[in-house]
Amino acid sequence: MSELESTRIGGVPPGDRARASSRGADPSRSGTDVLLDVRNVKVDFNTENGVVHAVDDVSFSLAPGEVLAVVGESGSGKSVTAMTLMGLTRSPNAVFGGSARLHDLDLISASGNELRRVRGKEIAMIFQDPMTSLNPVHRIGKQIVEQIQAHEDVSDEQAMRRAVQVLERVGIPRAQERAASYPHEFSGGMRQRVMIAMAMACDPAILIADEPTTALDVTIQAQILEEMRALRERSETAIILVTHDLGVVADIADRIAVMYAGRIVEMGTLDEIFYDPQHPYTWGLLGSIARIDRDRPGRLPSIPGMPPSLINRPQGCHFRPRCRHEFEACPRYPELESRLGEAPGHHDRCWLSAEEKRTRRVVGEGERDRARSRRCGGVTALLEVAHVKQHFPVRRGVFNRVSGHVHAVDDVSFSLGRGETLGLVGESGCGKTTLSRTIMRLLEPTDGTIELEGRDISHARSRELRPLRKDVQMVFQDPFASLNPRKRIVQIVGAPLMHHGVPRQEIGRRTNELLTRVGLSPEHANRFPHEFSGGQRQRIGIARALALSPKLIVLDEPVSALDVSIQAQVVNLLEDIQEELGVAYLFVAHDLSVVRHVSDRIAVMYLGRVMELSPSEELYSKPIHPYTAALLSAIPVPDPRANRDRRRVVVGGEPPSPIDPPSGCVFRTRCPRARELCRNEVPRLSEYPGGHVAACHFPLNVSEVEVGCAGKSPLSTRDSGNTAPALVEDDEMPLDTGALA
Amino acid sequence: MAAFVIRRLLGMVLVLFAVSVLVFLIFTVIPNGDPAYRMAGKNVTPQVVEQIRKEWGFDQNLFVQYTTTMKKLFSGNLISYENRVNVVEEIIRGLPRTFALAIGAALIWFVVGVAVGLFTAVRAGRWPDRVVTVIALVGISMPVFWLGALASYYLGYKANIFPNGGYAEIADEGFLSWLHHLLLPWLVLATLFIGVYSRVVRSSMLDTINEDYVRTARAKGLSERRVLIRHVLRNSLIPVVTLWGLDFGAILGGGAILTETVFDLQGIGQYFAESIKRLDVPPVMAVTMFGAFFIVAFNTFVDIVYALLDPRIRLE
Repeated sequence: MSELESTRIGGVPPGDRARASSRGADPSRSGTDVLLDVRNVKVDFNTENGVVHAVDDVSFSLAPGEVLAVVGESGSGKSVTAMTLMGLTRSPNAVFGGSARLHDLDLISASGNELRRVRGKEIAMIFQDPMTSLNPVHRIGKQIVEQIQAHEDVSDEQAMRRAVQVLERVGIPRAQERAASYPHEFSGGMRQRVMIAMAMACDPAILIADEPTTALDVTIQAQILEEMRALRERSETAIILVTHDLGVVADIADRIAVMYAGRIVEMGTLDEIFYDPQHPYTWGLLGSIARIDRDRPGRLPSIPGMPPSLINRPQGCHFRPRCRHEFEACPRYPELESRLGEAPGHHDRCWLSAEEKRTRRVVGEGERDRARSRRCGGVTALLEVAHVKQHFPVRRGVFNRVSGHVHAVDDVSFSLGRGETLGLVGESGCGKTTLSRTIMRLLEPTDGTIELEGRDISHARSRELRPLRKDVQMVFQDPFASLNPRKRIVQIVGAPLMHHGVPRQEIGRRTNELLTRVGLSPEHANRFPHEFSGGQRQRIGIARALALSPKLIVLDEPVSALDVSIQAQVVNLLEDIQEELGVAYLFVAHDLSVVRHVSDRIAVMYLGRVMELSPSEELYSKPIHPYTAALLSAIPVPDPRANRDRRRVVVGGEPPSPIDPPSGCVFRTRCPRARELCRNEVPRLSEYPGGHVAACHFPLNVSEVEVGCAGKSPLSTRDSGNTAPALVEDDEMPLDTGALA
Repeated sequence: MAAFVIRRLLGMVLVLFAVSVLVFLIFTVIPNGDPAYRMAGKNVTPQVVEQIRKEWGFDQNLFVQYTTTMKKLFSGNLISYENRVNVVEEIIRGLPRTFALAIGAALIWFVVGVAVGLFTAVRAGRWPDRVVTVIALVGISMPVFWLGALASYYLGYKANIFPNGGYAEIADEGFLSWLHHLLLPWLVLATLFIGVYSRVVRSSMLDTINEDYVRTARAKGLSERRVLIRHVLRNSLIPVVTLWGLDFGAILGGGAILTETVFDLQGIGQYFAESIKRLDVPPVMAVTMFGAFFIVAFNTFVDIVYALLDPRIRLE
């Protein structure tokens, strides 16, 4: 359907737009079909350190039913632009310029009252984090009623009826009943549906979606994107989609505005941006994304350096300091204008001529000569995990009796070789983080064994563990929260050395070495964490983990908090370090694209269990477990044409509670292939050709014969095919067999 | 919920027991603590002291003394050593005075504290906020005995606008006189708390204003007033209400000792202070238990209210 849309929108009326006449206004269309006309919007914030030029000279227009994606990294001004249209950035310290006309109202200069009448009525907004965007103390029905009654004079009952209707429309089951629930009683995906329902309650002409799926799991993301598509079809609502995820953009957008340092640097239709990008920053952005649909290049291409400070921006083209193609014209400020004769709607801010751009353009080309071979199993095992369980008690009643257990990790076995990278993926709540903490022995396993170099550490005491800590280190997800803000870098990186008795003079020398190793300067040693950017902080975290020369580093979502161009830098650094030091990685992540890029083998977890464990190329090209297949197909690839051709499997529903997991195969409640057998019998991990190991009764991509002779995996030495207690009450979700699209 | 309350009640019994043992022991080990000597008065013979000792059971071992004291306390027959009046009756006499002071002052400080907090939060960083902040800090810094004495001297004794201390029974002197006598103590006691509460409300609101759901509320097109009341204030009051419950419980339990004494209200707090001065164990024991009961009870109550105010909290 996005094909249909984009041809409709992409059909820009051929006009004789002279470059001069199109200055400022969105040049890509004539004024007839314009819903929102944004011209030269500028937002400055006065701060103690100076004026932050958050948004500068932003112009675009929006047609009814159109999806405009605004993409860029953090600090590019994309969110500020969106919130400014809603008047949500207004504060005594903000200075605005330009105009944004919606009907007869200029949203930039409108009074508070005029703006309030438009908000929620004409323009609605949904936000990134559905967990915090709903008021926790009011029932959700009430919150939608409030939205309706803010703009329309309707009775409480009428408003509530409409609230239930919109909840039904966005796919909330039992909407009548659920309207009386509080937000915390909903999952993240359901809350985002509630947000959409609320935003749509007054039938706005424009919906601004600020990173609407960033906080969600991929299968839920696919559901929400589907919802937004349906909404656009239904009501001709125009959508401004603010995101950093080019996969999402390729999936749903009609036109794209690429922002950098507060300005739009390139704007065009979906296909124009993806297949004929004009600005070097766009090239870099498109190139830095790890792709699930491609073999990995040796290294991810990255954009060198960091985004500029918005207080002292580089003169002329703001991308100049990071651009490989800088020449004498660049210190002058380039206007956003069409530089291509054949595509008058495609605009960019780069002085290079069209021919130069085409010859110099390199997108997604890694340094292939550096590609390395995968190391797969075979090598001596460093870590052996066998039948590990991690159950947490749930307590109830007067005497806090244990009434049940959260089955966070259930019977997980795998081994990890020296210098190997094992990816551990799964949606939130699948137990991947708990498993990694158990392996670190930050938690004691309920059952099972963990062996490090042949020593059983499953129940080692803390004193016995101390020397082992040298061998296993961890890098955490959030580089902003995981470094002590009151310690200097030398103290942070040197702390492990100090605790393991390295002499003082030695520590300084080693710290400098480590900082140099991760690409920081030794002069940074005396600074504090807040003086560094996210990417640099993650480098500090890596340096700290490396300090004791560990044999295994557990990387818990090490790049998910970083921008794509920075992600690529950090991923490359991690690979270089592995090459040099032969350290093994356990790479925990929810982003399957990055995992594919770094991992030799990948374990897919669902509800505490390993569903499939396969060599990474095999896993992506020939998934055996239906859950793996669903996970892979839920990820939109940053390639619009491929996206349209791809067969998508949208898995319905949400993961069940780990307190009371389904009998038999835990995935059966959402599995399109589930049959009676799946309910009664836990599938055991079996080996399939190509090095696949999967736990499924009805595997994909495998012939009957192969299923017949599938060997029981050596990983499951103990028989895990224990039959579940016979059919319990039929309270499970109906099997959604129609979900296979 | 039921399990929670039962657990808390069991806990309360433990707390009261521990408090009573502690208070009892403290008063038997402090120097000059032998009640028989003090009850016998000056220039007495050892025989008289011995006789009092026998009569009151001070010659028994500590365990027996403790149990008889507790038995008497809970049957309402505990007699004080000094003036030999029934302690429980004294407490019941002081009860309406203390409650009147506590309830009135608590309402005033809550309402005014929240109002001032709201006002300063909305104007955070601008001059009205700064002026009010200074006033609030002055209020916090003024000791009750000092402010109470000044108010009572200038407004009561000198200007004669208010009565110079004392308490008026509604039954005897009517509602207006009752109110007239209580107004000054209420205001003086509330002043301290208004300062604290306005600061707590202000900072809690400034935290809440930055929450994502407040942004959502604005994006819905609600009026700023509705955003502030329904979304900001409603959520910022959750911690304030818990704080209020704890303070209120302490004051109800006789915690307003200074205010009661300065204004001579003859409430439980004042009774407590006088009993300590005389090292009179039975009333001290009784009032301590009384206060501990209120503090524990209000703690439980506050937790329940907390769960009602914030649907995410579940009592288990």
